[in-house]
Amino acid sequence: MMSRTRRRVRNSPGAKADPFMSGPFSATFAATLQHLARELERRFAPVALVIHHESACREADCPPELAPLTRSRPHAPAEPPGTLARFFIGAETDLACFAPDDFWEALKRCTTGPQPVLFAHPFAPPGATTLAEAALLRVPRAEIRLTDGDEVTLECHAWSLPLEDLAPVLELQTAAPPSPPLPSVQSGVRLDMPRIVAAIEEAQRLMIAGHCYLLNHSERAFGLLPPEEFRCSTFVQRWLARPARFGAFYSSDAAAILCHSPERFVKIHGEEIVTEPIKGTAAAPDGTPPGLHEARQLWSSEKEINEQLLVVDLLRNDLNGVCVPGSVEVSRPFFVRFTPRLAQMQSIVSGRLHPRFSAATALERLLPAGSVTGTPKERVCQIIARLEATPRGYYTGVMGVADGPARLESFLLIRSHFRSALGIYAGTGAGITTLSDPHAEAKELEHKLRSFLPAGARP
Amino acid sequence: MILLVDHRDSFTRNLVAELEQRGLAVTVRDFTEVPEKHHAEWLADATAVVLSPGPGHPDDYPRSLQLCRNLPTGMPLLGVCLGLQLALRADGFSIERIPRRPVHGRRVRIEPAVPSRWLSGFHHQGEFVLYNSLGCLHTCAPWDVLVRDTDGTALVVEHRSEPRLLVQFHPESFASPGGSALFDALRTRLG
Repeated sequence: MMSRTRRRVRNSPGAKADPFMSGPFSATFAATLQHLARELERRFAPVALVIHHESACREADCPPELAPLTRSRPHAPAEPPGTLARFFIGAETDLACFAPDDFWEALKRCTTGPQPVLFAHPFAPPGATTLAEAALLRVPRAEIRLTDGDEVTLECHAWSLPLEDLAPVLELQTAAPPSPPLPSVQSGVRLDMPRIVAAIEEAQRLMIAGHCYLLNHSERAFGLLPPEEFRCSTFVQRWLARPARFGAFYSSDAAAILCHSPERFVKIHGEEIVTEPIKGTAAAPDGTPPGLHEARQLWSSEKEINEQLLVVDLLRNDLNGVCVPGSVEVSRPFFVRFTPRLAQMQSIVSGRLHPRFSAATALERLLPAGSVTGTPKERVCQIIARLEATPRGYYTGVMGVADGPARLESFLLIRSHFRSALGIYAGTGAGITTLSDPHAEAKELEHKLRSFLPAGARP
Repeated sequence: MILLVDHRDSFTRNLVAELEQRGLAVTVRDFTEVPEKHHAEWLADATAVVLSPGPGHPDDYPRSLQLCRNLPTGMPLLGVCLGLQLALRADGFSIERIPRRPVHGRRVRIEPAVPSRWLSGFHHQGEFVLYNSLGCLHTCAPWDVLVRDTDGTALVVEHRSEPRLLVQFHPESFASPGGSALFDALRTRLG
């Protein structure tokens, strides 16, 4: 059984006149998103949400003197600005797997069906046979898609839920419902600085001895958010206040995830596969929006450029493991993407997926994501396991949606909060090279952790 | 078929792709699969051997060292990064920390061009990226150092009588615009 319905409304010109300063959404989109989150969580369980948000014209290409250093293409097809929010309602299948093989087998099986498959996989070193957190997979009974662009559209697909049950919530809203006050957040984050500095120094000793060339060190902090924060409507309020490129809300008995990630892992669309590793982040002083000044700061830093080279070569290597030989290319090396608070340097690595790999198989082979491990991956994961104080859990794992065997979108679980048997936790990480100042990196870890406490929390 | 020994590096597949996209067939073998003896038989179907980059010191890979020592006469060899260090270590030369602070991702410019004897028509020239902490400072016959870094580390080494070329830089890196010419010349030689 499959039934669908659709509503649409044209956005008035000028509704998003200043996307950066006054919020990047139309009022209709923001109001409907909040309405849906609230109504769906009141009427159905479970409800999950994945948002992909492309903001307009807030990028800068690297200066011409940097590009010729590389074998790369200057351009890449731009994604049209706009926002897609997908609510996943109910669960025909809802799995929590501690054995990776069970998860991958289920993902491959479920992606042959008509429904989208929502998934989240924790961080795991290459060849892991058990996971620190459960890999999650959900096939919904119905999906509501809300898009924002020149017009706002609301579309509902129901597979095993009567469309009549959903009908009461399926109206576009023009005025936001009154917002309840948000829970207050514990913000006094303190990390164990001496231990972290010692770990970074040890990583550098191993690097100088040739055991690795780049290492991503990360830390976890527990109890930053109250349990009430793990609600879809609260997540939506937080996300609208500070929209990340990839937002996601997931909750089940096993685990819950609040994701505000800037980083795509892989997108697979037919034979096209693309990954967009981020390395190098700069913030403007006083929290003002970043601009070319911050971009130039990244481009002129030897450490940031070298780190970007390492991670691009690492991801070329990983894509070469699933792509047609000769098809892997780098486009727009070192371009900077701006968020309201940060400038982030990244490159686009793409290729043509080898016909023998489905999207799920390719994802399985590409994990763990290179931009959160370092190089060489196998050796550096052994070092990480030794130097980091707690398992990463979902932090630096991957989350996404597969639509059939050849279409998949995924993003890294960074700048995210998690709830599981391990507790309520978040992670923070930094790329370490021989050029890193251990004390500055340790401070940066703590700063990063504070910087993505939910909007509304006191810094 | 080119036999590529992988030392579990995260750049190995870039090396494989450079060869395969030029129509060269490549078989990848993990370094643990290299036999302790009877190397000539193991290499019966190989037209060339490539030693991949990898973490650590050449002494961590005794089987790869043994393979270098027993390479049949006339068997072409390309060694990249750890691959260079393995071939030189196998002949008894010392591999140690480079004098300068290692900066992974540093670029070197090789100018003017240095012609290769084996890969006729190929000149080491242009920009190449380095990902190494260790290197070889002192080597001698039968190896010739064609290019040295400013701190004395060997960057390009060729064998005097055998078709063997060793590079400390990563020609397969996207930040080595000079690398394509090396693989083109290799294809011409082996193709």
